Formats: sequence, structure tokens, C-alpha cells
Amino acid sequence: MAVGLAMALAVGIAQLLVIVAQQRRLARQQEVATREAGNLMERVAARSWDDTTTAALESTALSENASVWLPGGEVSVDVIEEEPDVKRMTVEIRWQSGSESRAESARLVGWKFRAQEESP
Amino acid sequence: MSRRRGYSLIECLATIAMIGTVMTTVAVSMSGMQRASQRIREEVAIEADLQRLAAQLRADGHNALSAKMAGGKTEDAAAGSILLTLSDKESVRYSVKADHLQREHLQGEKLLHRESYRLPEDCTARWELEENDSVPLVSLTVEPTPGDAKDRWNNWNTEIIAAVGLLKPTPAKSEP
Repeated sequence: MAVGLAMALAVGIAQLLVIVAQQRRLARQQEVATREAGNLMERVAARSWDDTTTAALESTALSENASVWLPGGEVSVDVIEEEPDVKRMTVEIRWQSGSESRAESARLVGWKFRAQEESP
Repeated sequence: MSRRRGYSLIECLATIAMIGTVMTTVAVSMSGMQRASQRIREEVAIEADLQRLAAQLRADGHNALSAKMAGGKTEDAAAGSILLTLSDKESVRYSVKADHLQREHLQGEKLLHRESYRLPEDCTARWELEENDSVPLVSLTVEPTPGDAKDRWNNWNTEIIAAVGLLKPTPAKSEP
């Protein structure tokens, strides 16, 4: 009886620890992805107006550290000219999480204004 | 008349041993969970500080006219700092100390405000200034001290990038 109880307790605790570890990993991955998206957005924002296009940003890749934390990590930068002097920039990072390889993503959107660069 | 039988010494000892095993398992598990909880709390606190730092650094960087580096790699205290010039009179200096990063808002040489951001233990931080065709980029890299045992969870290899002069009318120029 006591052995049975001890076994059940041990299995329950082990399952709990596995769930905690999974959530901890996912939380860290979200942090890494969010920070990486912020860094990429700064890089995109620093580019000149003409150089801020989807085609020019096609080769954008994750940093080395982000690649370690985000298995199967991919990044895409999408630039849409909403108005003649306004561009919307979307940085999206996708990766696979956990043993079930569930798709996760983090997205950051920013806007660039031409007048900002060209005003005297 | 039935006579109630007692427990033998062996039965008592076996029961005590089993209860002891269960109690030990629970105690070890609880201790491990408390340690994990403590570590997670510390990680969350550091992460919150790093996020606050990233937001402040970017706000300062975007408003700055120029950026100037002082010092290089920072393996000890009082080394490595970067100066962001906001206007003719105002500037912001970020300096790496032993276990934290310090931000000072200056008006000329006069200190207007100072705040600090906690850095992870056993980590070093270094600044880099990246020249660009249009806008310079300032980056802060936090990484484990070389030679320290790397625990995956404590591997705070982190980079924060901020563009300099995004909100100014003319593109900023960095000073060497």
C-alpha cells in the first residue's frame, strides 16, 4: 500500500516537473524571440528608405544565439508601402517548440516615414 | 472469545521504513521545487530588467544625435561605457559595472538622473558601435564569463540593439 502510494506520488511529481520544465523552456523561447524581433526591427528601421523593401530584406537571418534557442527558427520581414510616404514593416519569427513540434511565433510591427529622413 | 493479535516488530519496522521513504521523497522533491522556484524568480527579475533596459536604450538611441564609445570589453568593474549625445547640453551615459549597468542622464557635467539595471551573475557585458550607411547601431552584448560552467538555463547570451538618431531630422554620425 505504502509502496503504491510512494510510486504514485513520485510519478505525479515527475510529471509536474516535466510540465514546469516545458513551460519554462517555452517562456524563455518567447523572450528570446521577442528580443530578437526587437533587434531585427532596429536593424530594419536603420536602413535607408529605398533599401527598406521585402526583397532587400529577404536574406535576413536569426542571430547565432537565437538559433540555439529556437529550433527550426525562421525569420521573415515583410515591408508594405501603405501610403506613398509610409511603410509598414513586419518582423515575424517562427520556430518549433516541444516534443510535439508545435509551431510558435513572435511578431513585431513598425512603421517608417519618409519625411523623417528627408526633412532638412 | 477471539483475542486481537498485535503487530510484530518486523511489521512495525517495515511500516516505519516505508513512511520514511515516502517522507524522504516528498522532502527531496519539495526542496528541488523550491530551488527551481527561486531560480525562476531570479530569471524573471533579470528578464524584466533587461526589457526595461532595452526600452530605455532604444528611446535614448532614437533621440540621440550621436553615439561615442569609451572602453571596450568589460571584464571588470568601471569599464566599458557609451555616451549618447541628446543635444548640445544633454547626454546619456551607459556604463557597465560589476553586476549591473548604470544609466546617467547628464546636463553638461551635472548629473540629472541615475538608474541601474541588474545584470545576470557570472556574465560580462560589452558595447559595440556598428557603422551603417544611414543610421549607426549601438549594441549591448551580455554573455557568460569565459571559463564559467555553462548551464543551459543560465546562459544569458543576450544582445540588445538600438538605432541611433532615428527621430532626429538628419541622420546621426557616430564618433570613433
